[in-house]
Amino acid sequence: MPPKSTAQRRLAKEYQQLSKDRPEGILAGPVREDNLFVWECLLAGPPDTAYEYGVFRAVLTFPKDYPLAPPSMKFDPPLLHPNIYADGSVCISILHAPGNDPLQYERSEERWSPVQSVEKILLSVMSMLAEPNTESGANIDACKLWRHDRPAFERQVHQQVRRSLGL
Amino acid sequence: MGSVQESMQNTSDPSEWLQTQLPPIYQLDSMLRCHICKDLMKAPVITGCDHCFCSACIRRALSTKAQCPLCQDEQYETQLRKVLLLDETIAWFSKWRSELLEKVKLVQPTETVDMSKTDSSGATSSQSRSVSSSVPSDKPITQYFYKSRKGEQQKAKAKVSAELVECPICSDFMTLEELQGSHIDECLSDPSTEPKPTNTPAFSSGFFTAPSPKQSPRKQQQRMPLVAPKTYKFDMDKPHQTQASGYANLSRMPKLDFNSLSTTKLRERLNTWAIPVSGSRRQMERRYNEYMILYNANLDSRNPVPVKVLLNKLWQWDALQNGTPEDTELDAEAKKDSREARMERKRWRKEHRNDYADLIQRARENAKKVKTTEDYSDNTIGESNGDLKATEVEEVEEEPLFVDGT
Repeated sequence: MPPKSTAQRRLAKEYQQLSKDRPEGILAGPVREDNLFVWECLLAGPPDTAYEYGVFRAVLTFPKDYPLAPPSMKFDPPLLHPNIYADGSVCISILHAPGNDPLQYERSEERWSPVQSVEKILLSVMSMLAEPNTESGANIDACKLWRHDRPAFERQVHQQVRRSLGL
Repeated sequence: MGSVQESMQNTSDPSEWLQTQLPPIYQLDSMLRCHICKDLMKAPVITGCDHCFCSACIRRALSTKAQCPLCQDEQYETQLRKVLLLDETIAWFSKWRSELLEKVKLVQPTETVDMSKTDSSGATSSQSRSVSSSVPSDKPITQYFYKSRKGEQQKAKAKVSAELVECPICSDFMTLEELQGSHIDECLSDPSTEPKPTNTPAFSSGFFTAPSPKQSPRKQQQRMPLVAPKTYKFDMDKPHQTQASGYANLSRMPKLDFNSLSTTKLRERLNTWAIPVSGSRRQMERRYNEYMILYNANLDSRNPVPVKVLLNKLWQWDALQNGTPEDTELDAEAKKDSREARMERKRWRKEHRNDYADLIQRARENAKKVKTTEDYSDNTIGESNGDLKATEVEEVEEEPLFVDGT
């Protein structure tokens, strides 16, 4: 067996733990057997939100120096949400390394540190789906819609929910 | 076998204890793990803010950001102190871990089999994962285990004492056939069968197997067939919390200010530590830093390894660093793979279009029924209910199909 890097060992561990003790509404694992650095996850839309009943696919890409640096997360297909860029990339404090904070609004304990984990990221994203943070929006159109025309926002999300179910 | 599966087999994680007779060890196991690598701590050190990590892990983390990963306090490498007692505790735990795990494993893990099945299907077939079908059952199972095990254990114990007989010579318990078959002869011819109550290692006497009053020490030894009693050797004479001699006074490798070093000087520095000097300057700098982490972490270990071993580790690290062509290949393949997965999904959708349509149709009818009986005023709720039902039915019917396909 080839020597494993710290990142690979840690990812294997997280995968093992996640598959044994699965948080509700979350499924995640490496896409391919021989590459631990790309994961696919399925998130169930939180109940009592516009995303309810949806099952959303996202891809987590880990850097080679994980867990020193955070992974990136991208919904594929993109999801309409104030904190998700139009291309599907998730903008959430836990995925930002403490070093770079261009907007200076995130508290450092909310941000990435090697003690965070895939599970914590996905749980944070779930709660982000339930409670968008429109003060630091990534998708300005979604922000506007969410603030000024909630019914229209929810209609669009409903469509995406249906699409996520293949309807 | 893919490497994910391989590395999974070589990975220990605290949740293994959940499916044993002693689930609380889960907590002990997690406490002894490093927050950064999630492994049992190697050469643990404590920070100025009182948090423990593997020496190498925290050194690596502090080299990117001078901050404790747990509390975000400002921390520097020079503040780290080794914790020999914790090192010894973990050494003990990792030495006995697999044996303990084996001992307290559930005898009839019927539920566990089911769980591992879902695990492996999750590992191999990313397309067949469905959130709602596999999620809800997990957590209650462990609780159920914990409760039900107690009862089973008591039953098992009662059963044991009822069916076993005591050997008159060594006062061991066994089945009658065993006793009459070969045991008595062996017992009589073996000079070491005198009952030796004081010789029993401390931890086997009632820590992990609740002793019934009738049990003799010999009996518990019998229950641990993997290690014969004679092999329990304890370094009693070795004082605790001491480091292997000769290492305590070794000085640490200094941090280098690469900006003020010429490449020739840098090479000289590398040579003094026997670090390979091949590759670009950038590679040499990174190699020095990695070796510094390995070397200084080694000094925090209770039993430091020879420099040779460290250099070998550095060499392995180097190999991983230079493995970039392979990595990019992997990435490319991963991309191709996700494309294939998408195609696969499309194909699936096309193939089963009629099934879907049928299910949706049925779901809609159900939804209508619900609407007429309960008289929903809100249109959207009724519709989304229908959607949900449709997906539930889909998942139920989809799963076996997929298994057949593979």
